[in-house]
Amino acid sequence: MSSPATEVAERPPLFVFDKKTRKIVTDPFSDNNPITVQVLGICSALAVTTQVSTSLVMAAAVTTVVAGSNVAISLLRNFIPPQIRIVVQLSVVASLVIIVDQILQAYMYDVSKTLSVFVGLIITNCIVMGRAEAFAMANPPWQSFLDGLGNGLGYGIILFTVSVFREILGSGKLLGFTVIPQAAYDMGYANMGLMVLAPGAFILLGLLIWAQRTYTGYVEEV
Amino acid sequence: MAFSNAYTFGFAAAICIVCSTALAGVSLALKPMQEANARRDLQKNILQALDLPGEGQEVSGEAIDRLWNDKVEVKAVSSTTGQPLSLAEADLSKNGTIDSADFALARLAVKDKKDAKGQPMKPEVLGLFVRKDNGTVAVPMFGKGLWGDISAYIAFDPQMTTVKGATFFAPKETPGLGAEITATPFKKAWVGKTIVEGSKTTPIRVLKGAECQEATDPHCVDGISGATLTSVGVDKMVDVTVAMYEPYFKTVR
Repeated sequence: MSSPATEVAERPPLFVFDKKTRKIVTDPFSDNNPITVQVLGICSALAVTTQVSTSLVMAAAVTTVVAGSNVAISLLRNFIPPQIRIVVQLSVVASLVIIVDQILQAYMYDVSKTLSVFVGLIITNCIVMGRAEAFAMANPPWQSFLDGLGNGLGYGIILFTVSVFREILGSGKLLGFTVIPQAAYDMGYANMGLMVLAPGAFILLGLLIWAQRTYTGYVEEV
Repeated sequence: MAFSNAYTFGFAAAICIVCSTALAGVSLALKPMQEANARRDLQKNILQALDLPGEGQEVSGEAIDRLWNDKVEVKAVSSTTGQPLSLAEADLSKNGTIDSADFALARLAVKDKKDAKGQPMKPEVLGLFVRKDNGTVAVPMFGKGLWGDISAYIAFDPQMTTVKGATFFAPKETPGLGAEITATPFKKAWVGKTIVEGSKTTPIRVLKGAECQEATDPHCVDGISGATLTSVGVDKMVDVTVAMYEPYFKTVR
């Protein structure tokens, strides 16, 4: 499938990786993080972060979907009639999410069981639609791919950080291995039940945002 | 850029066709693997209740199939007489099989069929999973927890009196609270409990700590703190199932 509509007089190289392009990937890690700065995708960040393993799979799933949908939308961007662009984006995102869900059920059954509905709910994750609408509709496929990758990973970093704390404090484990020694339990240490519940994640996320904003000096514009 | 209405409709149609074709293709291609996974997951739980492959050992993938075929026999008994039925007699296809008789049996009890009075209907056929080498029998149980369906496989000795092992499924229960019924301490608590008092069948109760002397009382286990409704669900599930299997118990005791 050729795309004559995107042809311009001086065609830029397809895969650039200069400083500006690299920034597309690294920006969402901290300065423009989808969770801590844009505060998107909170729902799943609370739901799947009780264990590190599930949060990693969730991060991979979201990264795949957002990068894939960005590329697809970017390829189609000059052909999509503006009146129906949101519906088209939604169809593409939904299809990708279902495919990811199916693959998880086939190859990683146990993890997909723990993630349950939250894989399906990636469809409603604002990060995915947000990137499609805000970035992929206006940028070439390679840049859109990098943007998707960056945002997916930015989301993943936060999920991972929150889940490390939640798993250690909540169940004394890390990636399923016990890390809190039995001696500590014998001395009266107890797992923190709050951490396995959603409020625990909320509090952690708040602390994380606080720490990050103190460090970067980011201030919300009023 | 202006798009004509015809183009817009055409584009929408094209997107629909491409997306649905892709989804149908993926779903078809992966279905056999997904079904095998779901089936093995169930088998693994039943095997665990029957103490297979044994303490601290894990099986996965095709090893589950082999172990299942070597060690487990699926039996059907009538829910009214307790007499064994042949799998053909049990007429499983009529009751909506998954894809094999084994699992149709396991699913029979979970069906939410109601009779005219709105009471849940008793299944006509009850399933049993028998460990071939020592005769341990696992009974499938289905009930409701706080957020959704829960199920269990509780294994008894051949005389159907003493619990040999138990596994619980609680996919929807709260992690760390209700879902703790799937953790080892709760499962272990069931081993050695009995469903016989004198000559009568009695269910094993799930009670709050103070109401149950777990260590000495053979008829109750300690529920999970902070998960009262899940514990009550387990209690009810065991109560209903034990009553349902009573005719079969009479035939073996």
